[in-house]
Parts: sequence; structure tokens; C-alpha cells
Amino acid sequence: MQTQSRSVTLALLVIAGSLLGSLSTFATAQSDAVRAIYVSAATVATNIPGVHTYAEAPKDFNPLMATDEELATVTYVVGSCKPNFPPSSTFQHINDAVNATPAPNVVEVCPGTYPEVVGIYKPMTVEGVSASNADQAIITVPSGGLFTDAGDDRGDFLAAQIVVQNVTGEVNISNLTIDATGNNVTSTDTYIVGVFYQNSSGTVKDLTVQNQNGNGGSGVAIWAEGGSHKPLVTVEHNNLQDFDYAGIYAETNSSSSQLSVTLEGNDLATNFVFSQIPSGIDLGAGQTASVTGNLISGGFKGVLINGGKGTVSENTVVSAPVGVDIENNGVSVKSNTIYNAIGCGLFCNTGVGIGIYANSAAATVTGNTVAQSGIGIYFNCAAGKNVHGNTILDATLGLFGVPSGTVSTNTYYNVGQINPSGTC
Amino acid sequence: MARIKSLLVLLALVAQASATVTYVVGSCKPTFPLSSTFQSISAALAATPAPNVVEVCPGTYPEQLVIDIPVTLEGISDGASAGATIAVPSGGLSRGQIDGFGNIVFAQVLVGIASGEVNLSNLTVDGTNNSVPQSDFVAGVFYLNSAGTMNHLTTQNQFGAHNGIGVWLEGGSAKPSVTLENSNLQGFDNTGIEAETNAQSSELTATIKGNYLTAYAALSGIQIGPGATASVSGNLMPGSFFGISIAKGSVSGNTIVGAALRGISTSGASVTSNTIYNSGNGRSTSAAVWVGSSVAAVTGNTITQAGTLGNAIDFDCTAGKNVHSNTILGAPNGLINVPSGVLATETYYNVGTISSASGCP
Repeated sequence: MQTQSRSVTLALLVIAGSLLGSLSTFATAQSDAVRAIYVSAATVATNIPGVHTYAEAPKDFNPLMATDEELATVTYVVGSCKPNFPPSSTFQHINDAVNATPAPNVVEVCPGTYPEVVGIYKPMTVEGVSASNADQAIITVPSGGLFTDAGDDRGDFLAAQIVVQNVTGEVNISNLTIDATGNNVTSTDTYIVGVFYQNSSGTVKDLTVQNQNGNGGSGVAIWAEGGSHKPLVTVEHNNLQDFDYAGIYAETNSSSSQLSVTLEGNDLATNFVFSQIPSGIDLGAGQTASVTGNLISGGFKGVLINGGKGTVSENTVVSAPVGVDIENNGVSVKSNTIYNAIGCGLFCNTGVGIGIYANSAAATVTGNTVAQSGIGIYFNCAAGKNVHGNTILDATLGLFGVPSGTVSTNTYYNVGQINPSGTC
Repeated sequence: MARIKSLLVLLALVAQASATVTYVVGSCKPTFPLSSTFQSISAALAATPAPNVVEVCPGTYPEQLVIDIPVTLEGISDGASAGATIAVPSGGLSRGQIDGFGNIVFAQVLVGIASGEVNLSNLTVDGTNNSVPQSDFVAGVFYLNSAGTMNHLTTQNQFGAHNGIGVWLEGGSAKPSVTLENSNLQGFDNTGIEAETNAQSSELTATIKGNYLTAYAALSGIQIGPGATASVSGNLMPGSFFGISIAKGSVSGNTIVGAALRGISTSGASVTSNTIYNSGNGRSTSAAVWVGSSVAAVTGNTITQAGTLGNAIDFDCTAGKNVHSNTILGAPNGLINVPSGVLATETYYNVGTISSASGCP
């Protein structure tokens, strides 16, 4: 039974590989047989018809005025918005451009719709550009849907629309829309992912990533995974919509931190809600996070801290039944605003502003404002004196499950019961 | 010696006149003098001498209040609970008040023509079972031609036949200044905060800051009508059809999520540095920001839209160079109804059509 299952998986991967043609190796716990069907990006790129092996400077490019850096820059254009650009440096597909030789420093993507999957294995900048009153380059799902094209370091399968894998140097992606509508992924074992950074550094900025959903709760807009490169990934000012597992997921299968993520100024909204998912931001193990200034609305949990280290500060979480869920002590939660954490019908009885489910007194929760919640801060009979200086406005229960002898000094307005006794 | 005695008597009189008269409502302060302790808020407000401060113990008080003296009314904590709840009396609300436009407003707390400031804090005003006629309005708090500050209030369940208002501010001849801050307004079915005066010139100054409004299926979050000048800042507002609508004043630093038709509508107030997320419903008339003014500054706002939700800024064929330096992320349409000749300078990311003038003559 197990062998048959693997054969099916392998067949799917082979189909995916032949369709996408630009897949690289991924280091997971999968078998060598599965791994073997992945080939290097460089090998495939040279085999793609229409890929040009040299780049020319634009016609309006003046070398006398250029800096050394500009002279060394290889820029490709995708689409037809720059007719003066040399045809040899112009592509119709993003994936062709990013895998062309010589490798580009910059890939500019014209407004338009690109039904393709993109694999990036070298440092570069990929950015949407504006032209003719339009500023929207949309990466959509190819005909036939998405297929497994990557795996994480825990052995999970990913059907990702953009894969950035094992890159030495930075990959920066900006000003693109990535839409997973019609992904056709039905296996609940496969994650539907907008952008997957695996063991690679860079900045993801000004993206709209939407509709990573459809198989019952495995959709992730942006996924960053660490590794031996100990990458730094910045995710800022993106618009992430209608994911059904997580808006941003950061993790490494490692007990020590092998990933640093800065998640700043993103807007996240989802209309999905299942039992315990989705989360706006999901922080797993093996990473260090700075999460600040994000606006998260809807879903089940605003920020889920499952592991790692760092700070979650000055975020706004609106209308998630659990505003911040602390399952692990390593991350401090400071100066966030959590509003309208109320119950959600089938999936929970009462909303919790900040739930400290980590079974320890170490969690730091200070300076937060929780407005309108069932329970302001849940202590789980374990959290302690590091929880203080928060403001709770309009809660049925201010604190719940506070261990006897623990003093937690907060400010309360319109709170039914500040700290009911006998809850532990 | 007689002169010194007279002076002492005078000083004593002055001290008595300026002494704070504090009453307590409820039973959370058993050591307070019985003569200053009341079981209803109305009784405390009506007592002689008139109170400067009324402290309300945690509990539920089914009363319809009229406040016509300058006073501070505040919920207090007894250690177990914080704040007090004003509920609808048995049988519903019975007294209506006419506003400047002839509407009848049944207010749970009416602050009417006070000669000084009325300050409210740490109170919940719950309109459940208000029984207000469907043709009239129900309001949690109604400031009528009166000044003061509301801080840390909760208003909820002001439901009528789509005529429920959380807090209503009405100006008048006293040209009052009213502040509403750090409060939570939820469960209204018309408008969270209404500010208006039936006058061409401004007869009300409203400061509305740091409030939370949940307004699902309501008409407006904050509506600033004619005759009022408002500073609206730092409010967090999910839901409603219209987030903030205003003619005079300023709107800055607010966060508006999911307004079904328009996030912010201005016909003259400045709109700066707000975050407007997922506004609109795809209709041609919906927009994150609607600007019906050629002079009001609309700058530095961040507008983020879902793919199907439509327009970021509607120029209404009126706005021009007063609209600039906004950031638009992810909207199918950036600017619409832009008058011909207007070249707006915004920053766009993932915007399908940057600018159009299709609706303009």
C-alpha cells in the first residue's frame, strides 16, 4: 500500500516536472527516487525553447552615464510593455527570464496575466512594472492547475506558485499579484503556496497574494523556511487575502534558529474559518521573528506562536476568535491591539484576546490593548508575572486561569469579571 | 480679631463652595456616608447638593438618564469587576428627544443643555430590549448642545429598525466641544457616532479619537453631518457600509477594514495617513476613499484592496491636485472619475487600471 502511494506521488511529480521544467532539488526526508526527478534549474533553462543566452542593453541605455553597478546589471523584460528593449532580453514567460543565461540581476514584468509557475535559483530582483495606465502583473495558475513542486524540511508537499530555493545571495520580489484561483489541488496532503522561500534570503514587498485555498485548509500565501544558509527574509507591505491555512508561515525543522524573518506592515485578511485555522501569521520552530505593524483581519488566529524567538509588537488584529495564540515562550508580545476577539459559532465558544497556552510562566505579554473579547488574556494556569501593563476594554472576563499567587497588574474598563477565582 | 474671624468664615464658605460633592451609586463602598450613597444613578444626579462626581459601582442599572448639570459620571471597580452597565428599564425607553432636524431620538443617556461639562467614563450602555418605535431613533448616549468628554465607554445593542446610534452629538447655540475617546461601540444598526447640527455654520466641535467600532450590517461607522467640525483620528473600525463620512475637519490615522461601500467620504475635511483595507463591493460607486472636494487634502493614505473589490479613490469629477502621495496596493482600479487634465501622483502596486475618467463629463 505504501509502495503504491509512493508511485502515485512519483507519477504526479514527474508530470509536474515535465510541465514546469525548471524545478530544482529540494532537501527533504523524501526518498532518493523522488528526489531524482528534480533536475537543476540551469540544466532545464538551457533546454527551454526561446530562452536567450545573452543580454543586451536597452537602446536608451547610455554607458557613459552608468555606474559600474549598472554596467554589470543584466536586465530582462517579460511581456510587451517595453518595445524598445532588445528582443533578445525580452521574454513572454517569467520563468524563462529568471532562468535565462546569463542569469539576470533584474527581471521586470510588464502588466499582464502570466499563467505559470516560477522557480528561482539565483540571486535577482523580480519586479512588476507599470505601463500604459496599468500596474498589475498577475501570476495565475497554469491550465490544469498546480502540482507538487517543492517540499519542506518536514516532508510536506508544496504546490507553490513561486519557488525560491537554496539561493546564495538575495532574491527580491516586488509588485506582483499571485493568484491561486483554479489551483485544482485536491490532496489534503499538499499545501497550496503563493511564494515559497526555502533556505534563501531576500525581500518580498508590495505583493498581492490571494486565493491560496480550496483543499480544506492547506493554503499559505507566503512561506519562509530556513536552512543551512541561515537566511534573512523580509516580508513587508504585502496584501495577503483569502488563504485558508496561513497568511505568512515561517519555520525550520531545527531546534536552533536557522531563519530570521522580518514581517512588517502587511495587510492580511481571510474569509475562511475552520477549527483552529487559518492563522494570519504562523511562527514555527527554528526561526527568529520580528513581527510588527501588520493588520490582520478574520481567520481563526491572528498570530500563532508555535516556536522560535523574537517579538510580536504593534500589530492590529481584528475579528479573529483568538487574537494572539502563544504556544511557545520564546517570543514576546508587546503593544499590540486586538479587537473583536469573539466567539465563532461552531468552532469555539468564546473569543480570546491573547491566549497563553504555553505551559510556563515565562511568556512576556505587556502593553497590549484588548478591546471587546470574551476573555482578555488566558493564562492557562501557568503564565505569570511577565504578563502586565495591558489594557482590557470591554471583556466578559478580563483574565482567566491565573495561577494562585500570581499578580498580573493590568488596566480594566467595562470588564464583567476581572480575574475570577477558582479557575485553576 | 473680628476682622480675622470674618476672614476665616469667608475662607470656609469659599472652601465649601468649591468642595467636590461626590456620590456613590451601588454598594461597593460600604464606608461611604449613607447620605451620599444611592441605589440608582438618577437619584444621585437629582440629589441636593448637586454632585460634581458620581461614582457608579459595578452592577446593572436599568435606567433612562437625563443629565442637565455639569458632572462627572464614572464607573468604578470593586476589585472583581470594572465599570457599570446602564440597561434599558423594564418596558423599554419612554422619553424621546427631538433633534435639530425634527427626528425623535430615544436616548438611554441624554446630556441636555448642561451649563458646564458632563464627563462620562468606564460605563457600558446596553440598548437591548429598547422597544423604540420603528420610525424613531435609539441612541446609547445623546449630547444635546452640551460639552464634555466620554472616555472608555462601551455602547452596544442599539438596534432599531436600522435606526440605532451608539453616540449622538448635536451642536447648538452653546457651540459645545465634545470629546469621545478610547471607547468601544458595537452592535448599532445605523451609525456608531453621529455628529451634526442643523446649521450652515459649525455649531459643534467634536474630537473622536482612539475608538473601536464594530459595525457589521450598519450604515455608517462615523457620520459627521452639517454644522459640525470634527477631528477624527486613530479609530479602528471593521464593518459598516460607510466607514467615515465628513464635511469639515480632519480624518487621520484611522484604520478602516471591510467597509462595504466606502471607507472614507469627504466633501471638505482633510483625509491623511489613514489605512483603508478591503473597502468596496465591486460596484462602480464604491471606493476606499471618495473625494467630493477640490481643496481638501487627501494625502499619505494607504489603501489596500482585494482583487474583486474595486476602486481605490473616487475623484467624483471634482477632486484634483489636492489628492496626492497616497499608496494603493492591489486594487483593480486605482483612481476613478478623475477630471480631465488632473494628473494625480500616487504610488501604485498591483493596480489593474491606474486612472480613469469614465464617469466625468
